[in-house]
Amino acid sequence: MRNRVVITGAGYVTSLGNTPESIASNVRHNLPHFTASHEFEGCMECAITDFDLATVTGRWKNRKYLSRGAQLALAAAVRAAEDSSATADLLEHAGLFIGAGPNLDISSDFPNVENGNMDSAELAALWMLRYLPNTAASAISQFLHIHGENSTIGTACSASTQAIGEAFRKIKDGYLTVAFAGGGDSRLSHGGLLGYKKAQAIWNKGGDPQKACRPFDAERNGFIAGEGGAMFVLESLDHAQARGAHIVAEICGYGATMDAHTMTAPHPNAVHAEKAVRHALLEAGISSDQVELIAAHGTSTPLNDTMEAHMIERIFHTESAAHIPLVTALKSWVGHCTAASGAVELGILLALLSKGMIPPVRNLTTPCSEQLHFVTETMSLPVSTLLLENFGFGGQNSALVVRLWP
Amino acid sequence: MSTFTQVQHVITEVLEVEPEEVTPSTYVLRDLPTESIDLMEYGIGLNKECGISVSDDIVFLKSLRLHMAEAEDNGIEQQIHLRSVYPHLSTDRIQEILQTVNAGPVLQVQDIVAYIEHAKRA
Repeated sequence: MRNRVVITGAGYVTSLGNTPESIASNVRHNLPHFTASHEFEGCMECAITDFDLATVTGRWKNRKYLSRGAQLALAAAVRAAEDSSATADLLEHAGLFIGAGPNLDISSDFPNVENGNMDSAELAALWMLRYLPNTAASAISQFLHIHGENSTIGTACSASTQAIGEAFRKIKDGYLTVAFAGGGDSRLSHGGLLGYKKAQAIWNKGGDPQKACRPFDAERNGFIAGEGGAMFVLESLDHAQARGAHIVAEICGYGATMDAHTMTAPHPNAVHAEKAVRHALLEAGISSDQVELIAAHGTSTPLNDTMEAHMIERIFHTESAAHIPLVTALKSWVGHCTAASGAVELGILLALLSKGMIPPVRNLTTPCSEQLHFVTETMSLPVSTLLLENFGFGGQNSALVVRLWP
Repeated sequence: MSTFTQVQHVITEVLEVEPEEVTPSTYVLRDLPTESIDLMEYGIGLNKECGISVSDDIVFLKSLRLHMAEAEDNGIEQQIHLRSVYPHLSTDRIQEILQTVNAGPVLQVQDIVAYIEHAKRA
């Protein structure tokens, strides 16, 4: 059984806002939330400053077991359930697919480790729950009473894209009718930033925080850590139409591969990233010149953006191409939300497109590719067919083709 | 701060409930949404709040029925046996516990308070 799969609800918590209106307003006025890091000199971050899970869950004793990433995922899931007008019966049979990252906020639990002794009177009996990858899924299932097939996916910065892709496949192949998919993550802690600082992956040159994140620009020099959560309600088209759900978009194709190259750096020729994108296009049954807008992974690191730009050139800038897609990079607006980046970027993109806005790549003054059609100012062109790309440490590659519902 | 206030604070912190919901006669497992994992957090919290390392088994009366059966098996009066296992509980309280044990988990907030006060005196 092959079902068409549609998005009928979205919930997101981002540094640009939690509603299409607030996100559109912040993009229109060029107000992303990049600031200098308090943790490390010269580094930047993009934080959500007004997030309080209690405003979504009310008093709930298990909040204390959630890392910030899990909190963001739970808040997004609750909002997605509301947005989709999910009934108790729908939730009971729904699946749940979450992209989760490691909790690196270690010093909050272990501020005074000496000689390897981690114990302290402050440590909760079940402190380890904040470090278990499926705690977000457990919390979401408890809170929304979701009982269906599920999976927690830990494929680094590709994770939430793959969570959406896996949910898409489960519904397409008839194993599920409805599934929640997305993720939540934050690396805005001493441990999180230390990890990427040591790996020399983040911007450390100081200067104007608003100018540090510059995907595909010649002056790019590392990503800016962000945070966020986004969850979507996916369901079969038949089920959505039968219950009169509001359909936002259709997920048409998904691809995922591994580089088998290095532990962190992408394959310089993007051979396998290209295969992931081509597979998503193939599954969607479209040719490359039917893609109108690419939401690139665009981390603002030297390696990723060169690799990704060349890959886009190879796939989309052929002599026979009748149409060349626009390219945007949402990390220039929210920083790198790591495991949640794909879901957060899809959420922001759908929110902005619902307001007729295509967001530009910020700070792109000297593009690393002459060929790519980068969006450099907010545009109001109607677009329908989108390609999302996300890649992660470990050589993880993923791509989704999404078509806005007419 | 009284011992009761300390215990009340530990419970309200773990469960995120209002202080008014936690009185000396509140049944910990019947009146409050306490689960087994919460008992572990109470143990950690009591240690932190009162500076006393508690025995979860004794303070939360976890093996009450086992000890009642033990008394019966050994031909000892339950009242006497429980008094030796739970020296922090008064004779009257143990009598009350034995009379109400079939109504559900008997642990009340006052029993935890009694344990802490007994430990503080020791």
